[in-house]
Amino acid sequence: MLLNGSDIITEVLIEQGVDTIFGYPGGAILNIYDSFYKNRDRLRHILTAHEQGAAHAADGYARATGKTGVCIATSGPGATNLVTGLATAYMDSVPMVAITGNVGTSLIGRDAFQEVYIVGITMPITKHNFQVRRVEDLAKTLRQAFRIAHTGRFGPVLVDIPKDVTAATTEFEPEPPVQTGCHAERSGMSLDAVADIINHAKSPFLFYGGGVRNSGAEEEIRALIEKSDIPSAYTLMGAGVLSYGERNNLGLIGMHGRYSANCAADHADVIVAVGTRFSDRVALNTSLFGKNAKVIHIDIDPSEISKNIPTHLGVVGDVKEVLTELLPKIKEQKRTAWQEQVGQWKARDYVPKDDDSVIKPHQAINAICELSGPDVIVSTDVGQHQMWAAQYLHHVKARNFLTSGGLGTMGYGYGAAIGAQVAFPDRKVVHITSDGSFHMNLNEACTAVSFGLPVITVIFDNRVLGMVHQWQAAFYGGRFSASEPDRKTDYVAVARGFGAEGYHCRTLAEFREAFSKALQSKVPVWIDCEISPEEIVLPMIPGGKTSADTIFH
Amino acid sequence: MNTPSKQYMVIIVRNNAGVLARISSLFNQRAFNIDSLTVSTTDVPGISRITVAATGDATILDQLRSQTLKLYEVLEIYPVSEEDSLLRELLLLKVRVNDENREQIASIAKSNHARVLDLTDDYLIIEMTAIPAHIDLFLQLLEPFDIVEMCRTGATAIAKGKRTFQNK
Repeated sequence: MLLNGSDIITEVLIEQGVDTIFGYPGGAILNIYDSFYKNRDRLRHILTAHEQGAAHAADGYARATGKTGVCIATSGPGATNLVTGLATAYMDSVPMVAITGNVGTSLIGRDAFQEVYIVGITMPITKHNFQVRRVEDLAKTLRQAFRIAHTGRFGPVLVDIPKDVTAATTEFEPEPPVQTGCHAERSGMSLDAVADIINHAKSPFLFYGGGVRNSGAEEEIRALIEKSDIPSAYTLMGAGVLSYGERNNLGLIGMHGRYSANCAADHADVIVAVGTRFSDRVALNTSLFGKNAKVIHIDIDPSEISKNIPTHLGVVGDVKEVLTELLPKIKEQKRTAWQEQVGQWKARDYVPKDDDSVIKPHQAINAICELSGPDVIVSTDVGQHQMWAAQYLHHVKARNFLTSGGLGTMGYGYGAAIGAQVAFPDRKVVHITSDGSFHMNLNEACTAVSFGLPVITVIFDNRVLGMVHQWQAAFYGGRFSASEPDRKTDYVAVARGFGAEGYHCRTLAEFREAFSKALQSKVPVWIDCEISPEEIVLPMIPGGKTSADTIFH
Repeated sequence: MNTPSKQYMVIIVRNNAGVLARISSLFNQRAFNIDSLTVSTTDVPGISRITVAATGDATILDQLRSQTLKLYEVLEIYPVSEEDSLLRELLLLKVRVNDENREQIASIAKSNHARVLDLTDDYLIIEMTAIPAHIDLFLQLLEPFDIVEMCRTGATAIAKGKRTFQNK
């Protein structure tokens, strides 16, 4: 059938299984929005307050569902407003397709109104990007974008479409959705060699990251850990792969990870790293991390093998496929002596002190888990509250925790929560944030109100930019440069101003009451929790150090 | 293993708009040290080849290879060396000469298989096509003279024998 470019975009989105897109209209994409209007029964559009919110929402939608998230923005500032969201998704390997409009092809390169070279700008923060210059290439390119975003190591793909291409017509033939999935060509060491090393290890340690979630290999990794009795830890991206309290789940690894997890890494004779990339927040000192260990690295991306840490045995492939093949080769055993040693480190793990007369972050997070149940989806912003959430939430499913790990994007959480709530209207979605982060993108409250999304925002309000403040206290002699903003924001009033509900709490009991009410609300709720500016994230290993340098107080 | 060395690599790419920008952006982003880079078409329509000379230790060169290969438009990347391939670079050199040294410079050029392309009263333009190391040596020989302008294309390379790139 003969269609114009805008209708082709709509048809390809629907054909690829997309039912929801997040975006913001503008001059260069008026034609596309006209097609969305015609097709509003088939394709739901969520209008955000700002394109950054749309990008984060598409990202949160993708992380929570496992599907490719889609966002759309106009040319120029609309496109540049997506940049932080794209970089966030890129660093955390989130499958996303971003569509931007651009000025007509005859105006490209003339500094036309709202023209920007978004393909150039986003080259290093997308898995790939395209500019479509002929309507004949449009459907093919969009399908290719969906394929690239959601195959191999996932990532965001941007498709830039000049306005005249959205108006021009061509023949369109519907096609089935493109093939997606992690499958990757296997290379690297033999799994017999890997199994042999694991089977003969005396003190093995395993940690895993977002690659396990993307591959859907939760069961396989649990089976490996149990069969070989290997103490394990998660990176920020791997939270929820193993459940809270599960045997052999030591907790978070890295800078603010559990002491026992970091000790196990530093003393292991074999480290098995699965779907993770040895970032500087995990391997704080690349020459000392795992210095006693043979490192086995299983990842889908060949460029991750030996990138940050020299790997003894690198296996490239889809984590689920590799583990499935590896499991029968793994000997069942109990590692009594090693577990005893790990138990001694566990006994020294940092335990925060309760105090019901105020709000302690760990107690508030425990209350969130208790009151909202295991099915809750939690998003965060970035900083102290994010680390508390990573440490203390009772993670039970990898897709229930949405956080910007690689880029560390303050302002990520509200958009992500909106994306998740749109995907799962019947589940509870909680956005844990802080007064610092929340001020970055709290404008998205209007989106949550407009679309009836009862996202609960819990603000750990310490009146300082907490993580910066913590570092300035620890390493800069208490010179609190620009980290005590002295804001007068009345969150309850602002929430009401947006059409949401607001609560202000000073004690754990007040918080529990407010949160319980929030769970019943049909509109978004903000809970402003006063916490002490003295609260810091513990334990902590300073950059470049090891578990031996852990700070406990 | 961790001593820096120079390596030549051939990158076979889809000749789409922006492919060179993508590759140079990646090199800059990851701080790869590139000595030279040449691009040309091939005998296959839609496919171009890039030859880069990069300096780094084994880890860095391996990263350069694996990160480049992740680009959607990159079809292949493989190392080439003086042993298994023919590496060639073109030099154009403008030297200011006088009656005393004109013959001497021309003779150095001749004995190094370089050609004098242009000759005016005061200037010689020399062309040399050779492996990059020979060009380095030749330039050393001419260092005592008055070199006023130099351009080198960077090396391009083709493997000896029947080996060629895969995506033909």
